Amino acid sequence: MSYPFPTIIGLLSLFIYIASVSLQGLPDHGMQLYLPIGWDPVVMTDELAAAIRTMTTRASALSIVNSFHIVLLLIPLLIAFNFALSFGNGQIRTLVSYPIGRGKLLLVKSGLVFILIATTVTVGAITGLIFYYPFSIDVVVLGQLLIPLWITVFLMTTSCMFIAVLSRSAPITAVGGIGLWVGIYIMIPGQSIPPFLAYSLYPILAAINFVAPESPGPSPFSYLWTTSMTDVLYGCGIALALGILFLYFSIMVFRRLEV
Amino acid sequence: MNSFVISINDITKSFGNVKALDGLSLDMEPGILGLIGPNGAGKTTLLRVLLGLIRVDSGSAKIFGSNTSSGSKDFLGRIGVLHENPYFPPLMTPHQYLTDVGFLYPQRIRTDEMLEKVGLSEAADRKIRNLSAGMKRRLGLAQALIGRPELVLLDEPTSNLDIVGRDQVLRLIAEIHQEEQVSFLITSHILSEMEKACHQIAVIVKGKIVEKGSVDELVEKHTQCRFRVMSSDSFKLEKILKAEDCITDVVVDGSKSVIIEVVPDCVENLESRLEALASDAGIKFYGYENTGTLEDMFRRLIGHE
Repeated sequence: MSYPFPTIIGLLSLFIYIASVSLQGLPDHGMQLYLPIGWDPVVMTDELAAAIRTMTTRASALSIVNSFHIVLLLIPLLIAFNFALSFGNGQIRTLVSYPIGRGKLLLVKSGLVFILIATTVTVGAITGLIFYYPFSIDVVVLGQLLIPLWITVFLMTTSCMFIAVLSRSAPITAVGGIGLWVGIYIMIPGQSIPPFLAYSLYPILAAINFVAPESPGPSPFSYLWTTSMTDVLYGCGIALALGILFLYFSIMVFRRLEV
Repeated sequence: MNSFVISINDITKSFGNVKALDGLSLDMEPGILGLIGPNGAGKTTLLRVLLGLIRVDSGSAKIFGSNTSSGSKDFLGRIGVLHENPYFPPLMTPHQYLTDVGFLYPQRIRTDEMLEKVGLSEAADRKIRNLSAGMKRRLGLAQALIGRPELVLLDEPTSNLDIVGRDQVLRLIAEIHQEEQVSFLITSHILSEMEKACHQIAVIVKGKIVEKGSVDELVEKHTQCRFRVMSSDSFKLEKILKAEDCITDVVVDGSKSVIIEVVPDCVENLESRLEALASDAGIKFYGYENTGTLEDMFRRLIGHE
Protein backbone atom coordinates (compact mmCIF):
# COMPACT_ATOMS: atom_id res chain seq x y z
CA MET A 1 0.00 0.00 0.00
CA SER A 2 1.58 3.26 -1.02
CA TYR A 3 0.97 6.32 1.04
CA PRO A 4 2.63 9.53 0.06
CA PHE A 5 5.44 10.66 2.28
CA PRO A 6 6.86 14.17 1.96
CA THR A 7 6.82 15.38 -1.60
CA ILE A 8 9.86 15.26 -3.83
CA ILE A 9 10.56 18.88 -3.02
CA GLY A 10 10.41 18.18 0.69
CA LEU A 11 12.83 15.27 0.35
CA LEU A 12 15.20 17.34 -1.74
CA SER A 13 15.07 20.07 0.88
CA LEU A 14 15.85 17.54 3.57
CA PHE A 15 18.86 16.22 1.63
CA ILE A 16 20.18 19.71 1.03
CA TYR A 17 19.67 20.61 4.69
CA ILE A 18 21.43 17.50 5.95
CA ALA A 19 24.22 17.97 3.41
CA SER A 20 24.67 21.54 4.63
CA VAL A 21 24.59 20.56 8.28
CA SER A 22 27.05 17.78 7.61
CA LEU A 23 29.58 20.44 6.56
CA GLN A 24 29.53 22.10 9.97
CA GLY A 25 32.96 22.24 11.45
CA LEU A 26 34.68 21.05 8.28
CA PRO A 27 36.77 24.19 7.76
CA ASP A 28 38.10 23.95 11.33
CA HIS A 29 38.47 20.20 11.75
CA GLY A 30 38.05 18.50 8.42
CA MET A 31 40.24 20.61 6.22
CA GLN A 32 43.39 20.96 8.26
CA LEU A 33 46.19 19.33 6.34
CA TYR A 34 49.02 18.56 8.74
CA LEU A 35 52.38 17.85 7.17
CA PRO A 36 55.67 16.91 8.92
CA ILE A 37 58.26 19.66 9.43
CA GLY A 38 60.86 19.83 6.68
CA TRP A 39 58.72 18.05 4.19
CA ASP A 40 59.71 18.70 0.58
CA PRO A 41 56.53 19.69 -1.31
CA VAL A 42 58.15 19.09 -4.67
CA VAL A 43 58.49 15.40 -4.11
CA MET A 44 55.25 13.33 -3.82
CA THR A 45 55.58 11.31 -0.65
CA ASP A 46 53.62 8.83 1.35
CA GLU A 47 53.23 11.47 4.08
CA LEU A 48 51.14 13.63 1.77
CA ALA A 49 48.87 10.75 0.84
CA ALA A 50 48.50 9.79 4.51
CA ALA A 51 47.72 13.38 5.47
CA ILE A 52 44.99 13.59 2.86
CA ARG A 53 43.54 10.27 4.04
CA THR A 54 43.48 11.54 7.62
CA MET A 55 41.76 14.72 6.52
CA THR A 56 39.08 12.94 4.54
CA THR A 57 38.54 10.43 7.35
CA ARG A 58 37.97 13.20 9.89
CA ALA A 59 35.73 14.99 7.43
CA SER A 60 33.70 11.83 6.88
CA ALA A 61 33.36 11.29 10.62
CA LEU A 62 32.35 14.89 11.20
CA SER A 63 29.84 14.81 8.38
CA ILE A 64 28.25 11.61 9.70
CA VAL A 65 28.03 12.83 13.31
CA ASN A 66 26.42 16.08 12.20
CA SER A 67 23.80 14.09 10.29
CA PHE A 68 23.29 11.85 13.28
CA HIS A 69 22.35 14.83 15.46
CA ILE A 70 19.41 15.51 13.18
CA VAL A 71 18.35 11.88 13.22
CA LEU A 72 18.00 12.02 17.02
CA LEU A 73 15.04 14.39 16.53
CA LEU A 74 13.79 13.25 13.14
CA ILE A 75 13.04 9.60 13.89
CA PRO A 76 10.75 10.10 16.92
CA LEU A 77 8.92 12.92 15.14
CA LEU A 78 8.46 10.94 11.93
CA ILE A 79 7.12 7.89 13.73
CA ALA A 80 4.89 10.05 15.93
CA PHE A 81 3.26 11.82 12.99
CA ASN A 82 3.35 9.01 10.44
CA PHE A 83 2.33 6.09 12.65
CA ALA A 84 1.09 7.09 16.11
CA LEU A 85 -1.19 9.79 14.72
CA SER A 86 -2.80 7.28 12.38
CA PHE A 87 -4.50 5.55 15.33
CA GLY A 88 -6.59 8.65 15.96
CA ASN A 89 -7.48 9.57 12.38
CA GLY A 90 -8.82 6.14 11.45
CA GLN A 91 -5.99 5.11 9.15
CA ILE A 92 -4.92 2.12 11.25
CA ARG A 93 -8.53 0.97 11.64
CA THR A 94 -8.97 1.15 7.85
CA LEU A 95 -5.69 -0.65 7.15
CA VAL A 96 -6.26 -3.55 9.56
CA SER A 97 -9.69 -4.10 7.98
CA TYR A 98 -7.92 -5.11 4.77
CA PRO A 99 -6.46 -8.62 4.33
CA ILE A 100 -2.90 -7.42 5.01
CA GLY A 101 -1.91 -8.84 8.37
CA ARG A 102 -0.92 -6.61 11.26
CA GLY A 103 2.64 -7.90 11.42
CA LYS A 104 3.24 -7.09 7.79
CA LEU A 105 1.67 -3.67 8.23
CA LEU A 106 3.99 -2.78 11.09
CA LEU A 107 7.04 -4.12 9.26
CA VAL A 108 6.25 -2.02 6.23
CA LYS A 109 5.66 1.13 8.31
CA SER A 110 8.91 0.64 10.24
CA GLY A 111 10.79 -0.28 7.10
CA LEU A 112 9.68 2.83 5.25
CA VAL A 113 10.78 5.10 8.09
CA PHE A 114 14.12 3.29 8.36
CA ILE A 115 14.79 3.45 4.62
CA LEU A 116 13.83 7.10 4.45
CA ILE A 117 16.07 8.15 7.33
CA ALA A 118 18.99 5.88 6.42
CA THR A 119 18.93 7.03 2.81
CA THR A 120 18.57 10.67 3.76
CA VAL A 121 21.50 10.77 6.17
CA THR A 122 23.68 8.66 3.88
CA VAL A 123 23.05 10.71 0.78
CA GLY A 124 23.15 13.94 2.76
CA ALA A 125 26.52 13.14 4.34
CA ILE A 126 28.05 11.88 1.09
CA THR A 127 26.78 14.91 -0.82
CA GLY A 128 28.55 17.17 1.62
CA LEU A 129 31.77 15.19 1.32
CA ILE A 130 31.68 15.05 -2.47
CA PHE A 131 31.35 18.79 -2.53
CA TYR A 132 34.62 19.23 -0.67
CA TYR A 133 36.50 16.07 -1.48
CA PRO A 134 35.61 14.87 -4.93
CA PHE A 135 37.30 11.58 -5.94
CA SER A 136 39.01 11.19 -2.57
CA ILE A 137 36.46 9.55 -0.32
CA ASP A 138 37.74 6.39 1.34
CA VAL A 139 35.07 3.75 0.77
CA VAL A 140 36.34 1.54 3.61
CA VAL A 141 36.10 4.41 6.08
CA LEU A 142 32.64 5.29 4.84
CA GLY A 143 31.58 1.68 5.28
CA GLN A 144 32.98 1.65 8.81
CA LEU A 145 30.87 4.69 9.59
CA LEU A 146 27.70 4.09 7.61
CA ILE A 147 26.97 0.53 8.74
CA PRO A 148 27.02 1.44 12.46
CA LEU A 149 24.97 4.52 11.58
CA TRP A 150 22.33 2.41 9.89
CA ILE A 151 22.24 0.05 12.84
CA THR A 152 21.81 3.00 15.19
CA VAL A 153 18.98 4.32 13.02
CA PHE A 154 17.41 0.84 13.05
CA LEU A 155 17.52 0.66 16.85
CA MET A 156 16.07 4.14 17.21
CA THR A 157 13.30 3.40 14.68
CA THR A 158 12.20 0.18 16.31
CA SER A 159 12.30 1.57 19.84
CA CYS A 160 10.22 4.60 18.85
CA MET A 161 7.82 2.29 17.03
CA PHE A 162 7.46 0.29 20.26
CA ILE A 163 6.61 3.47 22.16
CA ALA A 164 4.08 4.38 19.45
CA VAL A 165 2.36 0.99 19.59
CA LEU A 166 2.15 1.06 23.38
CA SER A 167 0.97 4.65 23.68
CA ARG A 168 -0.99 5.11 20.42
CA SER A 169 -0.33 8.78 20.97
CA ALA A 170 1.69 11.10 18.75
CA PRO A 171 2.75 13.50 21.56
CA ILE A 172 3.85 10.68 23.85
CA THR A 173 5.77 9.02 21.04
CA ALA A 174 7.51 12.25 20.06
CA VAL A 175 8.35 13.33 23.60
CA GLY A 176 9.19 9.80 24.73
CA GLY A 177 11.41 9.06 21.77
CA ILE A 178 13.25 12.36 21.86
CA GLY A 179 13.53 12.25 25.65
CA LEU A 180 14.95 8.74 25.56
CA TRP A 181 17.50 9.12 22.79
CA VAL A 182 18.52 12.73 23.24
CA GLY A 183 18.51 12.31 27.01
CA ILE A 184 20.94 9.39 26.95
CA TYR A 185 23.07 11.14 24.34
CA ILE A 186 23.41 14.21 26.55
CA MET A 187 24.70 12.06 29.40
CA ILE A 188 27.58 10.67 27.33
CA PRO A 189 29.95 13.70 27.52
CA GLY A 190 29.73 13.71 31.29
CA GLN A 191 30.60 10.00 31.24
CA SER A 192 27.62 9.26 33.50
CA ILE A 193 26.97 6.04 31.63
CA PRO A 194 29.42 3.18 31.10
CA PRO A 195 31.21 3.23 27.73
CA PHE A 196 29.94 -0.21 26.79
CA LEU A 197 26.33 0.95 27.22
CA ALA A 198 27.00 4.07 25.16
CA TYR A 199 28.42 2.00 22.28
CA SER A 200 25.61 -0.55 22.48
CA LEU A 201 22.98 2.14 22.18
CA TYR A 202 24.94 4.35 19.78
CA PRO A 203 27.31 2.13 17.79
CA ILE A 204 27.90 5.08 15.50
CA LEU A 205 29.82 6.79 18.32
CA ALA A 206 32.11 3.77 18.73
CA ALA A 207 32.70 3.78 14.99
CA ILE A 208 33.48 7.50 14.89
CA ASN A 209 35.89 7.21 17.79
CA PHE A 210 37.59 4.24 16.15
CA VAL A 211 37.87 5.86 12.74
CA ALA A 212 38.94 9.33 13.89
CA PRO A 213 40.33 9.00 17.44
CA GLU A 214 42.55 12.06 17.54
CA SER A 215 42.72 15.44 16.03
CA PRO A 216 44.81 18.45 16.85
CA GLY A 217 43.01 21.34 18.48
CA PRO A 218 39.39 21.26 19.72
CA SER A 219 37.60 18.14 18.59
CA PRO A 220 33.90 17.38 18.56
CA PHE A 221 34.74 13.84 19.67
CA SER A 222 36.91 14.77 22.62
CA TYR A 223 34.42 13.37 25.10
CA LEU A 224 34.52 9.88 23.65
CA TRP A 225 36.56 7.02 24.99
CA THR A 226 39.19 5.15 22.99
CA THR A 227 37.67 2.27 21.09
CA SER A 228 38.79 -0.71 19.04
CA MET A 229 37.21 -2.53 16.13
CA THR A 230 35.99 -5.14 18.62
CA ASP A 231 34.08 -2.44 20.54
CA VAL A 232 32.46 -1.33 17.30
CA LEU A 233 31.48 -4.89 16.36
CA TYR A 234 30.11 -5.68 19.82
CA GLY A 235 28.20 -2.40 19.88
CA CYS A 236 26.70 -3.07 16.45
CA GLY A 237 25.78 -6.63 17.41
CA ILE A 238 24.03 -5.64 20.61
CA ALA A 239 22.27 -2.70 19.00
CA LEU A 240 21.05 -4.92 16.16
CA ALA A 241 19.79 -7.54 18.62
CA LEU A 242 18.03 -4.89 20.69
CA GLY A 243 16.45 -3.44 17.55
CA ILE A 244 15.16 -6.83 16.48
CA LEU A 245 13.74 -7.41 19.98
CA PHE A 246 11.92 -4.07 19.90
CA LEU A 247 10.51 -4.92 16.49
CA TYR A 248 9.37 -8.34 17.65
CA PHE A 249 7.62 -6.98 20.74
CA SER A 250 6.05 -4.17 18.72
CA ILE A 251 4.53 -6.71 16.34
CA MET A 252 3.31 -8.89 19.24
CA VAL A 253 1.64 -5.94 20.96
CA PHE A 254 0.18 -4.57 17.73
CA ARG A 255 -1.35 -7.93 16.87
CA ARG A 256 -3.28 -7.96 20.12
CA LEU A 257 -4.22 -4.30 20.10
CA GLU A 258 -7.90 -3.34 20.03
CA VAL A 259 -8.40 -0.77 17.31
CA MET B 1 -23.58 -27.17 6.11
CA ASN B 2 -23.90 -23.78 7.77
CA SER B 3 -25.59 -21.45 5.29
CA PHE B 4 -25.28 -18.40 7.52
CA VAL B 5 -23.00 -15.63 6.32
CA ILE B 6 -22.59 -14.35 9.88
CA SER B 7 -23.06 -16.45 12.95
CA ILE B 8 -22.84 -14.78 16.36
CA ASN B 9 -23.36 -16.76 19.51
CA ASP B 10 -23.88 -15.15 22.90
CA ILE B 11 -21.09 -12.57 22.75
CA THR B 12 -20.37 -10.14 25.54
CA LYS B 13 -17.98 -7.24 25.49
CA SER B 14 -17.37 -4.64 28.17
CA PHE B 15 -15.29 -1.49 28.14
CA GLY B 16 -14.53 -0.89 31.79
CA ASN B 17 -17.91 -0.71 33.55
CA VAL B 18 -19.86 -0.27 30.33
CA LYS B 19 -21.34 -3.41 28.85
CA ALA B 20 -21.42 -2.76 25.13
CA LEU B 21 -22.57 -6.23 24.06
CA ASP B 22 -24.58 -8.35 26.44
CA GLY B 23 -25.16 -11.92 25.36
CA LEU B 24 -25.82 -10.96 21.74
CA SER B 25 -26.73 -13.69 19.26
CA LEU B 26 -27.48 -13.21 15.60
CA ASP B 27 -27.50 -15.33 12.47
CA MET B 28 -27.49 -13.63 9.09
CA GLU B 29 -28.62 -15.37 5.94
CA PRO B 30 -27.43 -14.17 2.52
CA GLY B 31 -29.21 -10.91 1.65
CA ILE B 32 -29.33 -7.35 2.96
CA LEU B 33 -29.62 -7.08 6.72
CA GLY B 34 -30.19 -3.74 8.40
CA LEU B 35 -28.99 -3.28 11.97
CA ILE B 36 -30.84 -0.50 13.79
CA GLY B 37 -30.73 0.71 17.35
CA PRO B 38 -30.46 3.84 19.46
CA ASN B 39 -27.16 5.61 20.04
CA GLY B 40 -24.86 3.53 22.20
CA ALA B 41 -26.76 0.31 21.56
CA GLY B 42 -23.63 -1.50 20.33
CA LYS B 43 -23.94 -1.38 16.52
CA THR B 44 -20.44 -0.13 15.82
CA THR B 45 -18.98 -2.36 18.56
CA LEU B 46 -20.61 -5.34 16.87
CA LEU B 47 -19.07 -4.39 13.53
CA ARG B 48 -15.65 -4.07 15.13
CA VAL B 49 -16.05 -7.53 16.66
CA LEU B 50 -16.97 -8.96 13.26
CA LEU B 51 -13.85 -7.42 11.74
CA GLY B 52 -11.61 -8.77 14.48
CA LEU B 53 -10.66 -5.24 15.55
CA ILE B 54 -11.65 -5.98 19.13
CA ARG B 55 -11.87 -9.23 21.10
CA VAL B 56 -15.00 -10.36 22.89
CA ASP B 57 -15.05 -11.30 26.57
CA SER B 58 -17.09 -14.43 25.85
CA GLY B 59 -18.98 -16.07 23.02
CA SER B 60 -18.04 -16.44 19.39
CA ALA B 61 -18.53 -14.55 16.15
CA LYS B 62 -17.99 -16.21 12.79
CA ILE B 63 -17.99 -14.99 9.22
CA PHE B 64 -18.19 -17.73 6.60
CA GLY B 65 -17.39 -20.18 9.36
CA SER B 66 -14.13 -18.46 10.39
CA ASN B 67 -13.84 -17.25 13.95
CA THR B 68 -13.21 -13.51 13.77
CA SER B 69 -11.14 -13.33 16.93
CA SER B 70 -8.84 -16.25 16.22
CA GLY B 71 -6.26 -14.07 14.54
CA SER B 72 -6.84 -15.73 11.18
CA LYS B 73 -7.45 -13.22 8.43
CA ASP B 74 -8.86 -15.65 5.87
CA PHE B 75 -12.30 -14.08 6.02
CA LEU B 76 -11.01 -10.52 5.48
CA GLY B 77 -10.24 -11.41 1.87
CA ARG B 78 -13.91 -12.25 1.35
CA ILE B 79 -15.44 -9.14 2.89
CA GLY B 80 -15.43 -5.43 2.27
CA VAL B 81 -15.88 -2.70 4.87
CA LEU B 82 -16.94 0.91 4.92
CA HIS B 83 -16.37 2.44 8.35
CA GLU B 84 -18.44 5.39 9.54
CA ASN B 85 -15.50 7.80 9.30
CA PRO B 86 -13.13 6.16 6.87
CA TYR B 87 -9.63 7.44 6.27
CA PHE B 88 -8.51 8.14 2.73
CA PRO B 89 -5.01 9.37 1.88
CA PRO B 90 -5.71 12.98 0.89
CA LEU B 91 -3.01 13.31 -1.74
CA MET B 92 -3.87 10.19 -3.70
CA THR B 93 -6.44 10.06 -6.47
CA PRO B 94 -9.39 7.65 -6.40
CA HIS B 95 -7.81 5.71 -9.25
CA GLN B 96 -4.50 5.26 -7.41
CA TYR B 97 -6.19 4.42 -4.13
CA LEU B 98 -8.57 1.84 -5.57
CA THR B 99 -5.78 0.22 -7.57
CA ASP B 100 -3.67 -0.15 -4.41
CA VAL B 101 -6.58 -1.54 -2.40
CA GLY B 102 -7.48 -3.92 -5.21
CA PHE B 103 -4.02 -5.50 -5.12
CA LEU B 104 -4.63 -6.59 -1.53
CA TYR B 105 -7.37 -9.02 -2.59
CA PRO B 106 -7.01 -12.34 -4.40
CA GLN B 107 -9.64 -11.29 -6.93
CA ARG B 108 -10.53 -7.76 -7.88
CA ILE B 109 -12.69 -5.70 -10.17
CA ARG B 110 -10.86 -3.49 -12.66
CA THR B 111 -10.38 0.00 -11.21
CA ASP B 112 -11.96 1.81 -14.16
CA GLU B 113 -14.96 -0.49 -14.03
CA MET B 114 -15.41 0.12 -10.31
CA LEU B 115 -15.12 3.88 -10.70
CA GLU B 116 -17.77 3.82 -13.39
CA LYS B 117 -20.05 1.69 -11.24
CA VAL B 118 -19.96 4.23 -8.40
CA GLY B 119 -20.11 7.26 -10.68
CA LEU B 120 -16.58 8.53 -10.04
CA SER B 121 -15.08 8.16 -13.52
CA GLU B 122 -14.85 11.88 -14.04
CA ALA B 123 -13.19 12.43 -10.67
CA ALA B 124 -10.79 9.50 -11.03
CA ASP B 125 -7.69 11.67 -11.26
CA ARG B 126 -8.70 14.35 -8.79
CA LYS B 127 -6.99 14.37 -5.40
CA ILE B 128 -9.15 12.77 -2.72
CA ARG B 129 -8.99 15.87 -0.50
CA ASN B 130 -10.80 17.77 -3.27
CA LEU B 131 -13.75 15.37 -3.45
CA SER B 132 -17.14 16.26 -1.98
CA ALA B 133 -18.62 14.33 0.95
CA GLY B 134 -20.88 12.38 -1.39
CA MET B 135 -17.99 11.47 -3.66
CA LYS B 136 -15.95 10.28 -0.70
CA ARG B 137 -18.81 8.09 0.41
CA ARG B 138 -19.01 6.56 -3.06
CA LEU B 139 -15.26 6.07 -3.01
CA GLY B 140 -15.68 4.31 0.33
CA LEU B 141 -18.24 2.02 -1.22
CA ALA B 142 -15.93 1.39 -4.15
CA GLN B 143 -13.01 0.38 -1.93
CA ALA B 144 -15.36 -1.97 -0.04
CA LEU B 145 -16.44 -3.63 -3.30
CA ILE B 146 -13.25 -3.68 -5.36
CA GLY B 147 -12.06 -7.00 -3.93
CA ARG B 148 -15.17 -8.88 -5.18
CA PRO B 149 -16.37 -9.54 -1.62
CA GLU B 150 -19.13 -11.91 -0.72
CA LEU B 151 -20.16 -9.79 2.25
CA VAL B 152 -19.94 -6.02 2.78
CA LEU B 153 -20.21 -4.31 6.16
CA LEU B 154 -21.45 -0.71 5.92
CA ASP B 155 -21.46 1.53 8.97
CA GLU B 156 -23.79 4.50 8.34
CA PRO B 157 -23.19 4.51 4.58
CA THR B 158 -25.49 7.45 3.90
CA SER B 159 -24.50 9.79 6.72
CA ASN B 160 -23.47 13.30 5.60
CA LEU B 161 -25.21 12.80 2.26
CA ASP B 162 -28.05 14.81 0.81
CA ILE B 163 -31.17 13.05 -0.37
CA VAL B 164 -29.87 12.59 -3.92
CA GLY B 165 -26.62 11.12 -2.64
CA ARG B 166 -28.46 8.77 -0.30
CA ASP B 167 -30.70 7.52 -3.09
CA GLN B 168 -27.66 6.88 -5.28
CA VAL B 169 -25.91 4.84 -2.59
CA LEU B 170 -29.00 2.78 -1.82
CA ARG B 171 -29.64 2.13 -5.49
CA LEU B 172 -26.05 1.00 -5.90
CA ILE B 173 -26.37 -1.40 -2.99
CA ALA B 174 -29.52 -2.91 -4.44
CA GLU B 175 -27.95 -3.24 -7.91
CA ILE B 176 -24.81 -4.90 -6.62
CA HIS B 177 -26.78 -7.30 -4.51
CA GLN B 178 -28.92 -8.19 -7.49
CA GLU B 179 -26.05 -8.55 -9.98
CA GLU B 180 -23.28 -10.00 -7.86
CA GLN B 181 -25.25 -11.73 -5.07
CA VAL B 182 -23.22 -9.80 -2.49
CA SER B 183 -24.68 -9.74 1.02
CA PHE B 184 -24.76 -6.50 2.97
CA LEU B 185 -24.91 -5.73 6.68
CA ILE B 186 -25.88 -2.08 7.07
CA THR B 187 -26.14 0.04 10.18
CA SER B 188 -28.05 3.27 9.90
CA HIS B 189 -30.16 5.76 11.82
CA ILE B 190 -32.26 6.62 8.79
CA LEU B 191 -35.04 4.09 9.22
CA SER B 192 -37.01 5.11 6.13
CA GLU B 193 -34.03 4.08 4.00
CA MET B 194 -33.54 0.81 5.84
CA GLU B 195 -37.19 0.07 5.27
CA LYS B 196 -36.69 0.42 1.51
CA ALA B 197 -33.26 -1.17 1.17
CA CYS B 198 -33.20 -4.14 3.55
CA HIS B 199 -34.67 -7.60 3.32
CA GLN B 200 -34.34 -8.17 7.04
CA ILE B 201 -33.99 -5.90 10.05
CA ALA B 202 -32.35 -6.66 13.38
CA VAL B 203 -32.97 -4.29 16.28
CA ILE B 204 -30.20 -3.94 18.84
CA VAL B 205 -30.86 -2.35 22.21
CA LYS B 206 -28.37 -2.21 25.11
CA GLY B 207 -26.10 -4.76 23.49
CA LYS B 208 -28.78 -7.34 22.72
CA ILE B 209 -30.79 -8.23 19.63
CA VAL B 210 -34.41 -7.66 20.68
CA GLU B 211 -36.05 -8.30 17.33
CA LYS B 212 -35.22 -9.73 13.95
CA GLY B 213 -37.30 -10.35 10.89
CA SER B 214 -38.50 -8.89 7.62
CA VAL B 215 -39.70 -5.29 7.64
CA ASP B 216 -43.32 -6.32 7.04
CA GLU B 217 -43.29 -8.91 9.81
CA LEU B 218 -41.85 -6.54 12.37
CA VAL B 219 -44.08 -3.61 11.46
CA GLU B 220 -47.20 -5.76 11.55
CA LYS B 221 -46.20 -7.35 14.85
CA HIS B 222 -45.49 -4.11 16.68
CA THR B 223 -47.86 -1.54 15.22
CA GLN B 224 -51.29 -3.23 14.95
CA CYS B 225 -52.57 -1.13 17.83
CA ARG B 226 -50.86 2.06 16.73
CA PHE B 227 -52.81 4.83 15.06
CA ARG B 228 -52.34 8.36 13.79
CA VAL B 229 -55.18 10.68 14.86
CA MET B 230 -55.70 13.89 12.89
CA SER B 231 -57.36 16.83 14.61
CA SER B 232 -57.38 20.61 14.74
CA ASP B 233 -55.27 20.80 17.94
CA SER B 234 -52.91 17.92 18.61
CA PHE B 235 -51.53 19.34 21.88
CA LYS B 236 -54.97 19.68 23.44
CA LEU B 237 -55.91 16.25 22.19
CA GLU B 238 -52.75 14.76 23.63
CA LYS B 239 -53.69 15.97 27.13
CA ILE B 240 -57.15 14.46 26.85
CA LEU B 241 -55.96 11.12 25.48
CA LYS B 242 -53.30 10.70 28.15
CA ALA B 243 -56.07 10.52 30.75
CA GLU B 244 -57.81 7.65 28.96
CA ASP B 245 -57.25 4.11 30.32
CA CYS B 246 -57.59 2.53 26.88
CA ILE B 247 -54.69 4.49 25.54
CA THR B 248 -51.24 3.31 26.61
CA ASP B 249 -49.08 5.79 24.70
CA VAL B 250 -49.55 9.25 23.15
CA VAL B 251 -46.95 11.14 21.13
CA VAL B 252 -47.55 14.46 19.37
CA ASP B 253 -46.58 14.20 15.72
CA GLY B 254 -46.90 17.75 14.40
CA SER B 255 -49.53 20.40 15.06
CA LYS B 256 -52.36 18.37 13.57
CA SER B 257 -51.75 14.77 14.53
CA VAL B 258 -50.87 12.51 17.42
CA ILE B 259 -49.71 8.91 17.42
CA ILE B 260 -51.50 6.73 19.92
CA GLU B 261 -51.25 3.15 21.05
CA VAL B 262 -54.38 1.52 22.37
CA VAL B 263 -55.06 -1.71 24.21
CA PRO B 264 -56.30 -4.34 21.74
CA ASP B 265 -59.78 -4.48 23.32
CA CYS B 266 -60.39 -0.80 22.52
CA VAL B 267 -59.59 -0.93 18.83
CA GLU B 268 -63.16 -1.86 17.79
CA ASN B 269 -64.87 1.26 19.14
CA LEU B 270 -61.94 3.57 18.69
CA GLU B 271 -63.46 5.93 16.12
CA SER B 272 -66.59 6.75 18.10
CA ARG B 273 -64.54 7.17 21.25
CA LEU B 274 -62.16 9.59 19.61
CA GLU B 275 -65.01 11.61 18.06
CA ALA B 276 -66.67 11.95 21.46
CA LEU B 277 -63.46 13.02 23.23
CA ALA B 278 -62.62 15.60 20.58
CA SER B 279 -66.15 17.00 20.59
CA ASP B 280 -66.15 17.37 24.41
CA ALA B 281 -62.87 19.30 24.20
CA GLY B 282 -64.07 21.57 21.39
CA ILE B 283 -61.56 20.12 18.90
CA LYS B 284 -62.31 19.11 15.30
CA PHE B 285 -61.67 15.41 14.70
CA TYR B 286 -60.54 14.73 11.10
CA GLY B 287 -60.01 10.98 11.23
CA TYR B 288 -57.44 8.31 12.07
CA GLU B 289 -55.36 5.66 10.31
CA ASN B 290 -53.26 2.67 11.24
CA THR B 291 -49.57 3.60 11.25
CA GLY B 292 -47.15 0.94 10.10
CA THR B 293 -43.66 2.23 9.52
CA LEU B 294 -40.34 1.00 10.75
CA GLU B 295 -40.01 4.22 12.71
CA ASP B 296 -43.20 3.54 14.62
CA MET B 297 -42.07 0.00 15.34
CA PHE B 298 -38.69 1.29 16.47
CA ARG B 299 -40.24 3.92 18.74
CA ARG B 300 -42.45 1.32 20.32
CA LEU B 301 -39.63 -1.12 20.89
CA ILE B 302 -37.30 1.50 22.32
CA GLY B 303 -40.01 2.90 24.53
CA HIS B 304 -40.69 -0.55 26.00
CA GLU B 305 -37.01 -1.36 26.46
